Amino acid sequence: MTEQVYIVIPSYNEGNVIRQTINSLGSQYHIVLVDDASTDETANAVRDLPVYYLRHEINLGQGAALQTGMDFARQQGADIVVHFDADGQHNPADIDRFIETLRTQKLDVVLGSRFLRREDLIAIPRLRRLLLRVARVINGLLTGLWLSDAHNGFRVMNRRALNAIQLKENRMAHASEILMQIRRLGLKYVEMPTHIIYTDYSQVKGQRWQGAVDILIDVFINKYFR
Amino acid sequence: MNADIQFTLTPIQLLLSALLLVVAVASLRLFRNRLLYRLFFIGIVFTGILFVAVPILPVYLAIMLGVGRGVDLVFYLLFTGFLLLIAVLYRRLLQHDVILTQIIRQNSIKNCRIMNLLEKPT
Repeated sequence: MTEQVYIVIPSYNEGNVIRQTINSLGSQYHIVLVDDASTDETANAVRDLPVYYLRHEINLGQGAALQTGMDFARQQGADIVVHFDADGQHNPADIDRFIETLRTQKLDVVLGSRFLRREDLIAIPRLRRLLLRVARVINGLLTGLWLSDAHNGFRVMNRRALNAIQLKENRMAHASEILMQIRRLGLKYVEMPTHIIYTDYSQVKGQRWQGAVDILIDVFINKYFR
Repeated sequence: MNADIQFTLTPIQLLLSALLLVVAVASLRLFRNRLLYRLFFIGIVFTGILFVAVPILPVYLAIMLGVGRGVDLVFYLLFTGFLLLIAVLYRRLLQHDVILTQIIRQNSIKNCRIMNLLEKPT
């Protein structure tokens, strides 16, 4: 029996690029687009594309959108779920490679990393690289999971992980929350190299250092005050 | 000590006590079905009226507790109460956040639009 692979794409005001991102994925996967209350033309942009379109009535954040997509995929009977960014930063060619590793090594989660290959590393803008290194240390201290890349949005998980992981952190701190849950739930994981394409568009839309500080505070609150 | 305590209320003491009573009634109405909140507010209002009616009381309490002046004691109590209130309200806010997220999530899944799935593999 063929495994059902669902690509979950959280999206907020990515109407300019979402069509291109979805087209780049080809037609072999089920695509779940979670529109997090976009105010642009996202819905129209994907009208004729083969996707499940879910829309939040209020903007909740990327973590909430991912969980919505994961809940939907679970209900649809997904065997494997892939987290994929809407802005076209991720490489669709990595999907099969990650799924293959998940299968052959009998893992629960495969996490993308920009720090395992030199060519991926040098593609990261310098300031972002510095921020990610600091985040890695803080993340390691808070989650107990020492990864090379703390905030990479490209992940692949099997049904077991899909059933077990429940994101409560609605905004960007979900990336740390996932790591905490992987550790707490004893899920088997590995990091694999992935290439992130930094375009002018994605850098403008991406997080700034203030956002990183916000995430740290969210992670701290989530860990100790929930 | 007892000789210093007066129970005759001046107009300003009466006014302040009346205002505190209004706050007490408002809080009783506001916190419907929340006994703990009601008791907390009544406790604060009662202490407030007591301090207004007997201004020397916080002074004696402050000396007994070793926190300097009576006004310092009132400040510390208010500051602690303020922080407690923020913590309680923040917790409530988080709970509402969870509920709101669940409702929006369920709605979005229920109203899922299947775009052009003709090209989707079976």
